[in-house]
Amino acid sequence: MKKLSNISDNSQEKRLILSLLGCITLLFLVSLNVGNINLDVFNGLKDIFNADTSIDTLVIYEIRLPRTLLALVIGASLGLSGAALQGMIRNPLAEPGIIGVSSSAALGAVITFYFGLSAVFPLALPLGGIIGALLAVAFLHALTAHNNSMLTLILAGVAVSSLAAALTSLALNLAPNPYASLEIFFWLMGSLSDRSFTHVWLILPPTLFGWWLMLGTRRDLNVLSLGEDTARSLGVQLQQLNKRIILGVALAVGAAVSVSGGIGFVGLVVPHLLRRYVGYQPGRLLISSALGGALLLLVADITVRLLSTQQELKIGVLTALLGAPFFLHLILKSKREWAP
Amino acid sequence: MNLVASGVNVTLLGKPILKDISVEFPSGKLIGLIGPNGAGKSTFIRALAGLQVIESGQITLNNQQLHALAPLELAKKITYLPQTGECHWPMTVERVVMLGRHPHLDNHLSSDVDMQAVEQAIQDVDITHLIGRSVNELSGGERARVMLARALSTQSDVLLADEPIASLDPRHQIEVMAVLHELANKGKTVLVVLHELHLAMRYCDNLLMLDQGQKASEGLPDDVLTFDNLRAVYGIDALFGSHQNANWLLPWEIKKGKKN
Repeated sequence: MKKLSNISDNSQEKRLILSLLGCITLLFLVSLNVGNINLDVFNGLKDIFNADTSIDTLVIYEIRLPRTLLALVIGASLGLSGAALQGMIRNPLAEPGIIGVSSSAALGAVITFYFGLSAVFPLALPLGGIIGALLAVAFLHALTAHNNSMLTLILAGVAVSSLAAALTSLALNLAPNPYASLEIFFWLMGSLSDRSFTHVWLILPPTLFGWWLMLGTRRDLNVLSLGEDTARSLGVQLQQLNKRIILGVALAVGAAVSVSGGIGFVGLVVPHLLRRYVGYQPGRLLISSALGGALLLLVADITVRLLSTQQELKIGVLTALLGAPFFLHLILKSKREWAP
Repeated sequence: MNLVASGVNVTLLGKPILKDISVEFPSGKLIGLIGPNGAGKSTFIRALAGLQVIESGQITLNNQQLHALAPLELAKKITYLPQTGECHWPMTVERVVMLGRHPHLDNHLSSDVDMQAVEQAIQDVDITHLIGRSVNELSGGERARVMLARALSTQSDVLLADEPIASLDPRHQIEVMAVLHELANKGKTVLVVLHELHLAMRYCDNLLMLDQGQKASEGLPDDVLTFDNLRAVYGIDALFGSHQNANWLLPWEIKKGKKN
């Protein structure tokens, strides 16, 4: 049985991961190079390492490096969360928004705008986002504590999402002045501009913890492909698996949304795009999707910087504009993926 | 491995599904679990797999209560094959079979032992020609055999299979029953839910007949599949005969008059 050797053959997956890492490295340098000021990236990076101060180091360290790192971290969170949720719900249409975490994080951030906290204390904005996401998870947990059903979880997620969206609209509606409304409105569109290393450090702990929680479910997610009963009979502790993923998504996406605003479609499209290269194994899709998400968001961020619009195009607008038709194309092209 | 159920009661949504079932499943026997639709067979087999909470009574494996075993330990000892052969992603046949090794992969990646187990399971159910194909492209019967191979690859001491031959053609039904019988001969405990009474009579060492959540009959196939039992439990009349020193039966017609 020679052909059996391909069970443990993950050379295609390794090639995929190496290609993604290669592209990310390349675009990382491109991202540091793209902006209003022309500068020498290599010299700038060298100066940073040598602790020399120059205009180049200032631009790179204060503006472009945090922005690039945020694109990578947030993109990875979105890609990884999308893949983990799709594996858990066993549905390629799942994405971080489905459990209401994104909209709750957005609501938490919007509340800080509404009460003017973000103007007094800039970190109130991301903190508000993370708190919003965690409250959503606590609410979901309370709603589904005595019911293991995936349907209950999804419906509860839809309810949380709708409530958060309604309260966000209410905040917009009752905003004390038109500037506050505009600020909230623009923030909701999603952007990575004007972010600093403070934001990077702030989101890193919850993000890394969230990644660790999700990546720990790799093997169990593969088994869950065979349904809940079979997975349980093979030793998978379903409640623990679901909790890990939901909390992981809440921490990673909550932290992401709290810094960047709403960025859609990355969590939906990336796993869909990469699934075939990992043999459709949901567990093996996690790392690839994290890298794919990082790459996609970095490309999107470079694109919005290169497009010469009167006002910088918001990255959330771009991902939605390109993501929606692209996703439709993928659906039509790969019907075989819609497993019975 | 001695699997024992004592006074098992299960109630779902206020309706009693299993009523005071006590039975012992010794190793080295192929045991058929039979009964009409709604008799509680699937609920009972799920309870034996530790997947169904029981209201009262207990289920033990070698005198140890099932719930006292850690999930992975239990998974190494008891394999459950559900009725539905669901696989939500179009994975290849060999990768699906490999998932049966999950309880053994807690400390290592797939080893030679795992590969051999997968290879053996694939050969046992005659699906070598399906290697490399996606499970989504397979017919219902092929898919059912892939799922059986997945269950066999765990190499546990107890196999609980819920209607594993329901969607197979006669040749493959006989083949799968022979595989299950062979497993029992090797000392495993094999419990299989069946509606194919003729194969139950031909291949099973013992039968347990359930009716409306209760044990209706238990024992050797010839003692369980009697004219009277089939009339009382299934409401059918059957023809009986013998061939090469073995008895056979053929469900023939619905019993005249009401099922009692």
